[in-house]
Amino acid sequence: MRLARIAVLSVATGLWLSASTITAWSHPHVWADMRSQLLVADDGKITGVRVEWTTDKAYAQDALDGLDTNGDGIYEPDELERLTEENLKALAEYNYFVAFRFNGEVQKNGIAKDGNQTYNAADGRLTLTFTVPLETPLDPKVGEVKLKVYDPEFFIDFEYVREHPLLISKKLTDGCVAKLLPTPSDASIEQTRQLLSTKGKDWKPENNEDFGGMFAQAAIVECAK
Amino acid sequence: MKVILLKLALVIVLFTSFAPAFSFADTAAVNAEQPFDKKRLLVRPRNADGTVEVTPFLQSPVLWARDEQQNFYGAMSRAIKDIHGGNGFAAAWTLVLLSFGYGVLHAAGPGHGKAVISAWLLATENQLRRGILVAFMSAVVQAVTAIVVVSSLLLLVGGAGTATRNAAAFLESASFALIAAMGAYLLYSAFAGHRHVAQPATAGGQTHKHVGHVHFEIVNPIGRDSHSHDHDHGADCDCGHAHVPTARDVSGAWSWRKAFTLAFAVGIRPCTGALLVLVFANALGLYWAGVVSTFVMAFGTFITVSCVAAVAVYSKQLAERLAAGDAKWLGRMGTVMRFGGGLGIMLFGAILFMASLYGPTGSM
Repeated sequence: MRLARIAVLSVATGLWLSASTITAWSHPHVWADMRSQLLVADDGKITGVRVEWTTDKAYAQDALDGLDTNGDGIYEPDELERLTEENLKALAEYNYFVAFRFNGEVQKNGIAKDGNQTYNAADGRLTLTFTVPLETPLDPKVGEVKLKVYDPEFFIDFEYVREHPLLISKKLTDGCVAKLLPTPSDASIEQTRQLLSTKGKDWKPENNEDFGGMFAQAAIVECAK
Repeated sequence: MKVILLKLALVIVLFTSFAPAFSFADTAAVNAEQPFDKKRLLVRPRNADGTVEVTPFLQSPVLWARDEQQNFYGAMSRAIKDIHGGNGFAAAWTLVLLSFGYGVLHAAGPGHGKAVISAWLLATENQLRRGILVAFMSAVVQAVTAIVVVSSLLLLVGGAGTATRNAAAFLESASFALIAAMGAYLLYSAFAGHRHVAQPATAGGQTHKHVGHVHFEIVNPIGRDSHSHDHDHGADCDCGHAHVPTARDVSGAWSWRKAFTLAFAVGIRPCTGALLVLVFANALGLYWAGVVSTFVMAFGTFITVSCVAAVAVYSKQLAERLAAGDAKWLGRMGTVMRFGGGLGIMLFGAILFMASLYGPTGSM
């Protein structure tokens, strides 16, 4: 009798625990291989970025399930349109994971536009492309332009692709160069970790940086003075 | 009583554990006219429905609790919305099924007059089918008692609530508060039971003192001393037995009067599980499903009790072995679980209660 009670208890406890964590499983973590194309105006100012994120297969399965409305096995642009639209709407709450800084100052993003999504049947992955304009264009001759694309909560793991990770839409003014800073090395991550361990729980990184940003790979535009 | 309460709590826990499932079942149905399925999105929308990224427990227990609470409440209210939106059949069906399973398992524990009915069958050498009939009658009486008790309670509380605010919201809050109170009681009785175990057990039942726990006495319809039960309280006294007439009280030839007497004696004490299911079903706006569940649960207990009665008739020895106490470590494990279960249910009820006061109840 008591055995039966214990069995019921164990099952119930298990179910209860899974209920409390089910929200954490409901969305898998997403891995994204990305490219960033800096948008350069005629006057050489940076006006924003066009990002290209190729997400993992598991995400595509979740996202595409049932979207092939005409059942031809191909995901046509119009079948993916709503997905793109809704994704951009939701991403707006996260500032599109696009963080521009000008001489260290956080810059404001405008509303994303020109969203496009394609499905590559060969590798089963979706590629989302969209433009995040800056509210105020930045002049790299005046100060350092820095871009980080990352999820502060690491729900999505963004990583630059190996080939042509950083592009520019137009040639920069002479003397200016756009480059991707190296990924933080294990040593520097360890250093950051050590630094964090010495800080109190109320400590925050400087300049409105967040913890995720401390580990993200940065793209910068610098001009020779 | 405490054992029954604990197991009852499990039903809530079981029930709530499937509540989040509704939202998934719902999202699985793809329909162009419906709102966009959030599982498709790269990120979790941080909007009014309250789903947010849960902060890892180790990172910040306070934030974790807040996020989990928010998500849990979100899942609950989505489940309730689904129920109101016509998906209630699935919820009700699950509740009914769970109640049946609960009834079958629960009746294996103390109470429900198994011993009485079996002893009666043995003492009076009545036919097994008569024992089964009594078991059925007592299960029905128990279900009806639970429904009457909870219905009157809810009417009372609801009547008090309508004057000041939305009756449904008030009832919901009251239900959650009641769940929390039951959890608190469970915890209390676990403590009390623990102290009780620490008392050296005296041989025999006569000098046995009821230390630190509450006995829910029933009015004995037969009018005899209800404490003349002839069993021993072991070192780990379950004390979950109903105080029912002994076999001798109803010995003699079969009569409907005696059968009813037995059925009422066993069934008049409402099954705590049924009480909780009803309260919980009410909180979910599924009272009718709670009523059905109560009867289904009674049917489950009836099946188990009948089986025990059958075993008693066919093998007295086997029945005695089944009724004997288990090993000590099992008892200790049970104590630990009683603490955990009581605490869990109390917190659970408290969270829901608070959320119902401050949460977006109005939108449900």
